[in-house]
Amino acid sequence: MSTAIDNIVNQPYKAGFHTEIETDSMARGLSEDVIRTISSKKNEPDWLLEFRLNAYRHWLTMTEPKWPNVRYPKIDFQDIIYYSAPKSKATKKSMDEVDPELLKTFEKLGIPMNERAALAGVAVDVVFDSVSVTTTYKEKLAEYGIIFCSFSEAVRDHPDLIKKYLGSVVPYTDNFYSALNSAVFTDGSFCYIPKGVKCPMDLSTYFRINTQDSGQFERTLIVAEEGSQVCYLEGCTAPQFDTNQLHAAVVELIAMDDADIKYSTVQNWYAGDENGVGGIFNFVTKRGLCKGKNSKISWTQVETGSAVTWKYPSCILLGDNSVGEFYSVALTNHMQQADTGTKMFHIGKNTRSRIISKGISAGKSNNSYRGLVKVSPKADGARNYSQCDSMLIGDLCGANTFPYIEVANKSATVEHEASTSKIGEEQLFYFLSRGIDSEEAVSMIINGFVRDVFMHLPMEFAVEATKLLGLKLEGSVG
Amino acid sequence: MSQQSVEFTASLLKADGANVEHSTEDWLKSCQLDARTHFEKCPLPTTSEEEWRFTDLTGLYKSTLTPSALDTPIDPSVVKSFLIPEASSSVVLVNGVYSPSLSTVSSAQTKIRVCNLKSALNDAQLKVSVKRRLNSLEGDGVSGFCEMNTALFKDVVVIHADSNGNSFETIHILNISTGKHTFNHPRLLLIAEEQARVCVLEDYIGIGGFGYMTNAVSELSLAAESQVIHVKLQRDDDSAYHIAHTHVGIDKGASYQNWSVSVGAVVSRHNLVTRQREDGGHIAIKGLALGHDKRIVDMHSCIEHTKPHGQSIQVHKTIAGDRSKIVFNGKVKVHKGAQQTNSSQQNRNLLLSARASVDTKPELEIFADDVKCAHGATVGQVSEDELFYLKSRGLDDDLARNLLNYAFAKEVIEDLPIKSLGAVIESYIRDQTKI
Amino acid sequence: MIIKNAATILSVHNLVASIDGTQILKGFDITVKAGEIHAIMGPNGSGKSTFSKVLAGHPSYTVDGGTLEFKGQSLMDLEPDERAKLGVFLGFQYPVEVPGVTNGSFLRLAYNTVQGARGKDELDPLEFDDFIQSKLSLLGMDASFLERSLNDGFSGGEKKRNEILQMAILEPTLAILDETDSGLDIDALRVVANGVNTLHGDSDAVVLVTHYQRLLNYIEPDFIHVVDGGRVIKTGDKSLAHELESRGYEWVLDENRSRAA
Repeated sequence: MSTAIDNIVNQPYKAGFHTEIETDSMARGLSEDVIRTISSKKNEPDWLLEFRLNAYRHWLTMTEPKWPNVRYPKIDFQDIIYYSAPKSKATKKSMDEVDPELLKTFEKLGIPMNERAALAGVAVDVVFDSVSVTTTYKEKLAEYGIIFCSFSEAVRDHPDLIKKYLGSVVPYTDNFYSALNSAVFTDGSFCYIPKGVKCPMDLSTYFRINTQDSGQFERTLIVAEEGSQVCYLEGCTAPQFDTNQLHAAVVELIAMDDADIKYSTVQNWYAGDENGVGGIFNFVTKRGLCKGKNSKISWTQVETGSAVTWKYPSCILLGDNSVGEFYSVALTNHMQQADTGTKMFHIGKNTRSRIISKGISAGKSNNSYRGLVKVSPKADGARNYSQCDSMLIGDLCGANTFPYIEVANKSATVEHEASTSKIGEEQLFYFLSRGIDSEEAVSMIINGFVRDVFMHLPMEFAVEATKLLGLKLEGSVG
Repeated sequence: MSQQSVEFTASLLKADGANVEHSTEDWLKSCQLDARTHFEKCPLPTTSEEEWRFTDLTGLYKSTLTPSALDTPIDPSVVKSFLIPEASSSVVLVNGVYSPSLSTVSSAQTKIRVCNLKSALNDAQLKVSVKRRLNSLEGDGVSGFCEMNTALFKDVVVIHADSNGNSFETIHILNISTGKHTFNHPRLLLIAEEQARVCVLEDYIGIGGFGYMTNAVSELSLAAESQVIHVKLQRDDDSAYHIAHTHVGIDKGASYQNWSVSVGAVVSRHNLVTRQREDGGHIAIKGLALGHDKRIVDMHSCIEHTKPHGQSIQVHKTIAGDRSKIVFNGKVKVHKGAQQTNSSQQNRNLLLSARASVDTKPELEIFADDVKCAHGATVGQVSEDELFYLKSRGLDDDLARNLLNYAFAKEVIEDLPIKSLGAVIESYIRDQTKI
Repeated sequence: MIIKNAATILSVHNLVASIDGTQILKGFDITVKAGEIHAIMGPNGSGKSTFSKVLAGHPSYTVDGGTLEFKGQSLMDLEPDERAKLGVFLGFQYPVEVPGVTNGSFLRLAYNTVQGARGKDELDPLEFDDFIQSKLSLLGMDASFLERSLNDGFSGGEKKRNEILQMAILEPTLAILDETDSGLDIDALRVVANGVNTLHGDSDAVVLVTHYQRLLNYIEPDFIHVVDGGRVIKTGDKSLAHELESRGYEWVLDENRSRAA
C-alpha cells in the first residue's frame, strides 16, 4: 500500500535541467547603485527609477515576516544576483531570432513559443531569468486593442498605463517582499483589455529561473476595463540546484465595472530533494482589486513546487456586487513547507467571496492554509463561504488550518468549514476488493479530493496539473 | 503600547510587594519567587502579539490598581442570594482570599476534600499532591498573567476528589470582588483521582467593586477514568477586567465537560487549555459569550490531543450587540502519534448591531494521519425563514428576534447539570440580547 | 440449489487467522460448490465477519495456518484485487465512503479492470452507461445514483443496494455478503434479496454471513453453518435457521460444549 502511495507522490522533477547559455549577469548584492544599473539597462524613465529607490529605502526599514508557519535559513540578500539575462538581450520580433538553446529549453518544457506549433492557441509571454524573451500572438491581440507584452516593453510603449496602475493594488509598503520586488523587479507581463472586449484567447506567462543564485523578481499587471473579460495562465519551473533561490513576485489585477479576470497558476518551481536540500523560496504577493461594480476576480492555483511557499492571492472587493474567488490545491512532499491561502476584503455592498482550498501533505512536509475573510462595517449583505480540506498521506507530515474571520457588519453571512481526512487502509481495501489496484485507487481518491478545484482550471492547465499530481485523468476533471 | 504594559507590570509588583504568607514551604516560596522574576522580565501581552491581537488592554494598563483590602466587610445575605441550592459545599472568596465565615464546607465529606492552601499543606498526604500539581501549567496559552497570578496569589482553593461511587457532588466557588480599582488573583487547584466524580462551579461576581481586575488561574488534573464537570460563570462588574487561564490535564479514559459562560466585565479574556495526556479521554466544551455595550469578550481555547483515541467536541456560541467585540480563537492540535482522534468544533456568532464586530479563528493543527477532525465557523444573523415563521404567527419583529436570539444562546446551556444556574444564565441572556 | 457433481468453488480447511496478535479464526472449515447458497450464522464476536474479510484478503488479518482455495487455486498469497479479478466478491458490512469519487466512474473502472483481467472487452463510457442502466433497474435504483460520490452520504439501504449493484456488474463466481441485511428495513431487504436471487445461477455460489434468520426468509440457503469461537460448530439445512430463530444460539453452543467435554 505505501509503495503505491510513494510511487504516486514521489515522481521525479522533470523540469530540473539547466540550460547552458551565455548570460549577462550583474554581480551579487543589492544597493542603490545596483538598482540604478538595472534601471539604466532597461532605459527606464526617471519616475520608475524613483519608484524603485523609494521602495528600496522603505525595504531597508522593514524586517522579514515571522508569522508564517514555515522555517528556513536566513536569506542573505547580498548574496543574490538581482539581474541575469540571456546575452542576446533585445526582445525578438520573430522566433527565428531567438537563441536556439532557449527554443530547445522551452520545447523541452512543452511551452509553445512557436505560434504555428501552438495548437492550444494560447498567447505566451516567456520570461527567462530576469527578462522576457518573446511574446506570441501580439499582433493578433492588437487587432482587438488588447495589449499583451513584457513589462519592459509596456514601460517603453505604454508608460501612462504603467504609471497609473503600478503599485496601485500592492503598494511597495505592503510587505517586505513586495518592497524588495518593487525595488529590483526586472520584467514580467502586462495585459490591458479595453472596454467591452472579451479576450479571444487565453493569455499566459511562463517563468523559468535558469541561473544559479539569481533571484527572480517579476511583476505582472493586468487591467481589465469595463465589461471586458480575460483568462490568464501562469506556469513556472526551475533547474535542480542544491542551493535555494528566491522568487519574490508581485501580481496586481484591476477589474473595472462588469469586468472579469480569471487567473490560474500551476506552480512547479523546483522543490528541493527529499532531504530538503535546494529548491525555491516562493514569497509572492498576488492581489486583485475589484474596483468596479459587478466585477469579478477568480484565482485558481495548483501549488506543487518550491521548498517554501508563502503566498496569499487576495481580492479587494471594493465595487458593489463584486465577486472574489479562490480555488487552491497545494501538494507538499518530503521537506516542503507551504503557508498559503487567501484574503478576501469585503468593502462594497453585496460583495461575495468563495474559498475552496485542498491541501495534500505527504512525506515530512508541512502544509498550512491561512486565510482571512474581513467584512468592513459598510459591506452590507456581504457573503462568504469557505471550505478547507486537508488530506494526509503518512504520519510524518502536518496539516494546519488558520482561518481568520473578522466581521464588522451585522448583515454579513460568513461560513467556514474544514475537515481532515486520509487515504486509509479501509478505503484502499474497498477499492482492491473490487479489482482496482492500489496505485489506481490512490490516484482516484486524490483526483476526487481535488476535483472541486480542478474544474475551475482551463482544460490545458487541468491536464498539466493532473499530470503533476501524478494522476490519471479518467474524464473526471474539467 | 508595550511601554504601558511594562509600567503597569512594575506598578503591580510595587503595589503588592508583600511576600507569600505560606513561606514555611520552601518549594512554594521559590515557585512564587521564580514566577515573580520571570514576570518582571516578560511584560504583560499587548495587541502587537498575535495571540492578543484583538484583546485591547490599553484601558487596564493605563489604570492604577492597588491590592484589594484583605478584610472587607460584606453582607452575608447578599452573598447568600448568589449561592446555588445544588452545592454541597460553597467556598466564598472575597478579593481572592478564603472567607471561612461566608463559606459552608460540608465536613461530612470524606471523599471530596475542599479547603484552602493552608489546610491542604497541613495534611501530609494532600500536601504531596498539591506540591506535584500546583503550578504545573504546560502547553500553549500560558501568558504573563499566569506568572503574575503565581507570583501574587494570596490563597489557593484546593479540591481533592477521591472515587465516590456514582454520585456527582457540586462545589460552588464564589469569587467576590469588592474593591475600586483593585486587583486580585484567585487560584484554583482541582485534583480528581482515579474514577472520581465531581462538579465544580467557578463563579465570578462584583459586589460594590468597580474598575477592578480579576486575574484567575485554575488548574485541573483528571486521573484515569475520572469525570469532572466544570462550569465557569464570569459575571464580573461591567467595569471590570477579567483575565482567566484554565489548564486541564486529562488521563486515560477520563472525561472533562466544561461550560464557559461570559456575561460580565468590560474586557474579558479566557484561555482554556485542555490537554489529553493519555490514551482515550473525552473533552466536551460549550461556550457562551454575550457582548453588549462596549464589552470585549475573548475566548482562546486550545484542545491538545497528544495520545491516540481522544475525542473532543466543542460548541462556542456568541452574540455581539451594541458596540461590543467578540473574539474566538479555537485551536485543536493533534500531536504526532495521536491516531484515531475524533474532534469536532463549531463556532456560531450572531451580530446584532451595526457597530459590533466578531473576530474568529478556528485553527486545526494536525500531525497524525489517521484522524477525523472538522471545524466550522459562521457569522451571521438569525435565519430569515425562522423570523418569517414567527412573524406569520403574529409576533412583531423585535419580539421575534429576541426570541430567536434567546433560543440561539439557550441551546448552549440546555443540558447544564446545575439546573438552578440555568435559570440564572437565562436571565442574563434575556437582559443582554434584547434589541 | 444443490447440484450433483458440481465443481468445488471454495474449499477452506482448518483456517487459522489473527488480528494484532489475537487469534480469531481457530480452524475454520467450509466447502462450497457451484449453484449453492450457504449461510454462516453465529453470535456476535464468533468470527463470522472475520472469515469474510480473510477470504477477501483484508491486510489487517494474518493467516497463521490452514488452506484457502478458490476453484482449486490457493488464495493465500494473492492481493485483494487479484482475488477480485479471479471472481471473489465481498459485499461489505460497512461500505466505505469516498467523497469526490463518483459512483459511476468507480463502477466503470472496477468493471473494466475486472473485464480486462478476464480477457474481455472494456466498455467506453457510453457503452457502460447502457450496460449499467439495466442493472440499476434490477435494484430499483435511479440513474442519479451514478453522479453521487461513492457511498458518501448514502443511507444504509442505498449503501447495501450499491454493494449488490457492484456484485451485479462484476459477475463473481463466489459472492460473500457480510451482514448485508443489517440496518435494512423490510422493503430494502426484499430489493436486496431479489437482486441476489436474480444474479445467482448454476455456475456461481453465494455465502451469506448473518446474525439473524430474517434474510433467509427471502434467500433460501442450501446449507447453514453455525460459527462460534472461530470455527464451524454445526452444519445443517435451512431448518436449522428456524430452530436458531426460535431457540436462540445457546442450545447449539451448549451442545457443542457437551460434545467437547
